[in-house]
Parts: sequence; structure tokens; C-alpha cells
Amino acid sequence: MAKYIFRRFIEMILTLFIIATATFFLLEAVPGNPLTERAEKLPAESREALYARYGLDKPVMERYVTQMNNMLHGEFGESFVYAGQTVSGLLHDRLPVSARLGIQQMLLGVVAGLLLGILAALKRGTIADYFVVGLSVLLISIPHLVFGLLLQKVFAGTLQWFPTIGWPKGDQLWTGGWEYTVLPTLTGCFTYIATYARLLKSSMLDVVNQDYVLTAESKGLSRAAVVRRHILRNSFIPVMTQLPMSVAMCITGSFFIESIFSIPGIGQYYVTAVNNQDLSIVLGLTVLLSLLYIVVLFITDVLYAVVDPRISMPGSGSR
Amino acid sequence: MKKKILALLLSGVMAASVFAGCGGDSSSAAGDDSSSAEDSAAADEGASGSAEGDTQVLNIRTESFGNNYDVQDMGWRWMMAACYSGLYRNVADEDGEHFILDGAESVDKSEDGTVYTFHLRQDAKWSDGEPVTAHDYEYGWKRLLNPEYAYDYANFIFNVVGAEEYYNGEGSADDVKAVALDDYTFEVTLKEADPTFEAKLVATPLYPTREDIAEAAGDQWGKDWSLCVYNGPFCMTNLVEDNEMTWTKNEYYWDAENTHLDTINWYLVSEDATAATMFDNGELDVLQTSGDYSVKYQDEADAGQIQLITADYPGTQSLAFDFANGGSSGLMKNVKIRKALAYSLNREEMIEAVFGRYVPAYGFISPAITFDGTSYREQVGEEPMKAEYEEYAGDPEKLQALFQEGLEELGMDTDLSKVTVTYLSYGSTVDDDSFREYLQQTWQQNLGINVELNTVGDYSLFTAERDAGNFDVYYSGWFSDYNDPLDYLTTFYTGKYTSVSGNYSNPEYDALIDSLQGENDNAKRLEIYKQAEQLLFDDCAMIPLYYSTKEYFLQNWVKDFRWSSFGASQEFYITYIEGRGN
Repeated sequence: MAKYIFRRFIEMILTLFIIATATFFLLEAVPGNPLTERAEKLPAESREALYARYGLDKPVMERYVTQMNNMLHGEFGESFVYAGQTVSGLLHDRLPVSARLGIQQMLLGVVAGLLLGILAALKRGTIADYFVVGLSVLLISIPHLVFGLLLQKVFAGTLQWFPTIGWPKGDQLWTGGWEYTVLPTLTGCFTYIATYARLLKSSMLDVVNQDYVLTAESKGLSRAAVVRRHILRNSFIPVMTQLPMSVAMCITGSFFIESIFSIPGIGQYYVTAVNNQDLSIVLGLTVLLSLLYIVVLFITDVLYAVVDPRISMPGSGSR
Repeated sequence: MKKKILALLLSGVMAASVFAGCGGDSSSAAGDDSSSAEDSAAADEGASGSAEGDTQVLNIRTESFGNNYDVQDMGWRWMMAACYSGLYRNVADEDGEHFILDGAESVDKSEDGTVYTFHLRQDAKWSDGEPVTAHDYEYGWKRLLNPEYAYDYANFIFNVVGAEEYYNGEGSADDVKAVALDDYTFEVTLKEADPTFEAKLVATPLYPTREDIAEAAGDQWGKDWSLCVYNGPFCMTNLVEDNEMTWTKNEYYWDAENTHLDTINWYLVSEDATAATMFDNGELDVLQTSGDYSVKYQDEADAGQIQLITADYPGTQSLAFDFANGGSSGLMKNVKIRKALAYSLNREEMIEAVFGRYVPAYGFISPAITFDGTSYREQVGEEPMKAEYEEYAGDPEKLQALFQEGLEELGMDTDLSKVTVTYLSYGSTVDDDSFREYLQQTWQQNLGINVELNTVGDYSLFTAERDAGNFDVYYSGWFSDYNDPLDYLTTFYTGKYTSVSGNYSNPEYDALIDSLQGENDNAKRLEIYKQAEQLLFDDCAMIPLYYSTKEYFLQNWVKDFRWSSFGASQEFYITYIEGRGN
């Protein structure tokens, strides 16, 4: 186990290095730089001074080495576009906001999705099944932007049940101001509902036809016991694989939802930073979010073994 | 990290102490951000409860915050001009846009126009209660010139004795002749008289800055609003990026008596659809929007349900030619060809078909620009392109003949169907797309040439294509920094703003602009401006498209809200709320 973890750790460092390098040079390859638009309006002498002020007058390789070196020391640098904005500041201010939104969406979406999935699998071929399948297809095909605006128009505009935009702050960051979170949560949770309902349904249908289910039924176990102990437990493996990825995805925020509801989360900033070629911010966020994914992937592997002991970890040696 | 947390705590404490003077309700201003619902709920309830009738709270939409609090940088003019104050203030009232004394009580100007002595008002204060002194102005001006900071607008005061030398590292700050004679007297000595100097004084780079506060903030100056003190009618009391911002009345502003609004809430709303929902709900009092929503609200305004303000905006959109290489077709160096392209566009038709707003442009300088108090455009009479344009307007044969004459002059084949002109642009809004198509179709139809569209995704790609010379014509324009025709005309001075001029260069034109230096006679200046602008059109240095305008929709209870071109844009200093009800 220790050997396995050590190997994964080395792999992780290597992966992060490759990601950082690739991100740096991809952003460099895009024509222009974060200051282009601003510098355009300046006389030549001020332009040079501006570039020097942000260190952009230096050659690419020199900047690459400086940037990587700084990142090793945990410094990602300051935004080129938004003065004073740093990666750690962003994470501190914005990650909790995106995380709450994502967790609410996921909890609601995954629970509802799993229930609908079970319903569809157990009532296969009935109206309920077609309803769930139809709903999934519909929900997954409507873009967040359209759905969000529609919810705003109906529930904030016509019915005035909820505020149109905004997000709880300060003391209410995690646990208050629920009325603000309803519409954005609904907008985002449908993707989860659709994904998990379909995932669990197809997985359950697979399991239902397995021999051990037949065995269990022939043993005379009740329908409920068969479903609970044999079908559900075994059909959860694909769900367990998907779940950690959803967790990782959910806290990194959603650009469209954050943007239409004016939620000061990290997803919105990330996209803006890429558009602005805000190198230090993009690089910092990319590396940190990649780190998150990699850790989550690792946890997924461990979880696999917990759910299904037959799956052993590569390199662990023990059988 | 610990340091950061400490700094955050400290800034929180400082914010709390600073804003004690900011607005009547200091506890909510300094404390944690009160949520927007509470604000608007308070507004609604307060309306019935307060003795005067309406709570003076205004809710407005914006699409972005400026993220810059350093006045010398002018990164965020519409906030700075409302929350800070300089010697003069640019205002808009029933007399239109003009400037009045603000931080200065009176001004003495020397006979030869080179020495300005500003006598400051002694009741002007910062939001922490400290007086605004001449030393704050001196510090601000010298900071602007400090080469270490490389401020974009340093050249605004290069005409001050010693200024350019200091900026270029050839002189010292002590030699800059912008000095505090005593606490309330600020004296500026210019190298030569400059009638545009006063127009620049309303610009925020020439506002005062508190040395103690700025030096204490160090690297963080201008980056963190909670470290700032304000001397304008309003102070920033809350800002959450990508979300909302609150301005509170500054009780220390010298003219606080005449400022009516207690609170202005800015909501960052990126979608027009969302903004429309909020405006319909009454969650917003003022709305700027575009496209179909603009049409919808124009109808509502006609029916009297809401108010509509439209105003000139000092911007002109135009097409720039490739003067450096003659373009990818090699044709753009010929004036007849340029004219044929310019005259084949029907601007009235274009505006109706593509934009649904704006004013057709047959000149370069926007009608919003005033000279000596009245619109420059009105003073000089007919727009410079108009007369010649009308000779050709709507006559494809004549236009094609003109184009062919140009081809002949270049010694080229006069078969128009073999000519390809490349139009470079970026952006993918509905307006961008329909304009491209309009241009392509119109030129192809009227001139019988081929038009190739070189469309790229964003501004960086656009500059890359432009610098590589992959175009004949590109989308360009100028939005003015200060209120004088010179600001427009300077852009076509050789090598000055090549992104606007397309590397246009004409010694005769440069000589005209040079002759303005030290010219104090307004009548003569006007004549030179007129000649210079006419010269641009004799040369067909660009294709003017339209003059920009602004459009605001207001709820009926918003009174005395005005729009300005060179001040805070949204002028709230006299705005009040009446009759919002519940």
C-alpha cells in the first residue's frame, strides 16, 4: 500500500509539472498578451514602461523559469488584469461560494437522480420509466443558460418567490440566505439528476439479469431484500466511480450559472482569466484544480476496493 | 499566509473606522455586507415609513466593475468621478455638460496663460474627516509623473514645467512646477499656454491623493478599495467582485447638503434577460440594455410607463485603412479608391438595418465634443464628408467609375470583379455579425468588387492579424479622453495612435496640429481644427460610420438623473427618488 501511494505521489508531481508547462506555453502561443488592449491606447514610451512594470519585456524562457520557480514556493503571482488579485486570494474569497453552490446542486441532484433511477429500473417499461428517461434526455439537453433565465423569469419575475440574483455573504456564506440559492441550485442540479438516473438505471438492469440475483430470488428472499442487498449494492460500482469526479467538478464552479445569477464564484473568474490571457491566474488555478482532480482520482481508486474487494490495487502485491 | 490574514483583519478594522464618516447608517456600511434583498426590502419598507416619503436608495445595473481605485490610473472613471473629487467637476444639468469649480474655490490665471493659481475650498474633506489640502494635489500630480509607476495618463500634464523631464528620468520631482504654496493654494506653471488644460482638470489623474494613505498602502495602493479614503459625493462601502457594489453618501463632502441619495446599489448583471426581469420587478431603478430589449423599453417609454434618456457619447466608430502597406490588395494608398469605399455606404440605412440606434457620421469629431461651451459640430457647420458624399450617394455607376479611376492611377487592371478587399474585425455579438454582412453586401453590390471577411475571435488575435498586415480595412474608432476636438485630431498625427489612424501620415496635417501649440485665440483654434478635420476627409483618412450614443431607461420615480461624457457618466449628485411607493 505504501509503495503504491508513493508511486502515485511521484506520478502526481510529474503530471502537475506537465500540466503547468503545457498551460504556460499554450497561453504563450496565443497571439498578444494580457496588456495588448491597454497598451494599444498608449504612446510608445508609456507602452514600454507598462510592459516593464509587469515583467512582460523579458524573454519567454526567462519568464517560464521565474514562474515555475515561484510556483514551487507557493507563489502564483498577481493578476495582470485585475490589480492586486492573487490566486490564494481568489481561492479564499471565491472557492467557498462555488463549493456551496456545487454541493447543494450535487446533493439534491444525486439523491433525486438515484431515486428516479431506481424507480425507472424497477418499473421498467411503464409510464414511470418513460417519464424518467424522457425527463433525463430533456434535462441534459437544455443548456444551463436557457434554464437559468427561464427559472428567473418565472419564479423571480412573474411569481416573485425568490430574488432574481445574488448570493449569501458574510455570516451566511455556508448556512444562510437560502432563498438566494434556490434558483441557481435548481438550474445546476438537473444535470446531476439526468446523469445519475440514467447511470443507475442501466447499471441496475445489468445486475437484475445476473445469476446471483436469480439465486437470491430462488432462495426465497423477499423482493425488497433482493433489491437492497443484491441488486443495489452491486449496481453502485459505476455510481461510486462517477461520484468523486462529480465532487471535484462541483466545487470548481459553473461559469454560466455563476454569471447569470451574479454569484461571485470561481468558475466565472476562471473563464474571464482565460479570455484575458491572465497567465499567472490561469496557471495557478489550473495547477491547483488539477491537483484536486488527481487527489480525487486517487481516492476513487481506494473507494473501488472498499465497494468491491475483488478489485485489488495495482502494485499493492497482496491478493 | 499569516501576514495576509493579519492584513485582511487590519484592512477590515480600517474599513470600519474609515466609513464611520461615510453615510448616515455607518453600522451597516462598515459591517459585513448586508444582502441585496435586505437593501431593497429596506427601500420598500422605508418608503412608507420615512417622514419624507421615499428612502433615497437607487438600484442600478452594470456589466463590469473597474477593479482600480487609484485615481492617477483613471482605470475606472465612472466610479472615481463619483467617489473622488478634483479641482473642477464635470457636471451635467439642465444646461447640458460643463465644468464647475469643485475642490477649488477660485482660480487665478496669469496674463500669458501659463500660471494657474488654484485657491482650494477649506471645507473640502476626505471621508476620514481630514481636510483636502494643496499638498494632496501636489502629491497626486507628482505621483502621476513618477516614472516608477508608469501611469498611462502622465502625458496629460507634460506641459507642466519639469514634468516631462521627471517622467523621462531626466529631472527630479522637486523641479516639477506643480506646488502647494500653502495648505490651500496650489500653483501650476505651464511651459506654454494651453487652452485645453482646463478641460483636462476634470480628469481623475489630476485629482488629489493622500500621501499618508497611499504610502501606507504601498504596493496595494489602488488595488484594495478598503484601503482608500474618498473626497467625492459618495464613498465605496461594499464591493464583491462579480456580484455587487454599494456607494454611500459621503457626509464629509463639502456639498453633502445638496446630495440627496443615501445609497446606490450596483448589481453586476451580465444577461440582458436577467436585467429586464429585475427592471420589470422594480429591483432595478435604472437600466442600460441593448437589442430587442431596447426596442421593448422604447415602446414602454413612449407609453409613459418609464422614462428614457438618450445622449451623445464622445465616441466615433470608423473603418481604418492600411496606410503602411496599402493593404493586402495594395489599393488602399489611392485616395479615389478609399473615397469610393467610403461613399458607397448609406449610413442612415446601415444604422436602421444593423444597430437600431446611434447617429450617422460624416465627420470624425463627435457631436458630444464641445468647444468654448457649445458643440464643436454645430460651430463648424456641415460635416466635412457630406458634400462630396452626396455627389456619389446611391449612384453605383459613378462610384464604380471612381474606383476604376483609382485603379488606373495605380496602373492596374480596371476589371472590378477581379478586385478583392479584405475587412478585418473581431467580436461575435449580433451587431458585429450583421455589420460585417452589411458591409460585405453593400460593397459588393455598389462597387462590384469582392469583399473578403477576415474575422477573428478576440482582440489579441485581431491585433496579431492587423500587425501582420492581413487586411485592407479594419473596424476602428476613437472614444475621447477629454473634452476638446484636439483629443480626436491628435490620433491622426503621424505615429501617435496608429491603431486608430492605420499609420496615416501627412506632413501638412502634422504641421496644422503643431501650429496649435501655444495658440490661445479660440477663434483661430477653431479654424485650425476645422481645416485639420477637412484635410482628413480630403485625404479620406478613414471611413466614419456612426457617432455613439447612450440610452438609459429609468423608473418614473427616479428624478434628476443625468448622463455625462467626461464626468462620472451616471451623474447621481443631484438625483433623488420621489414616489416609489411600495
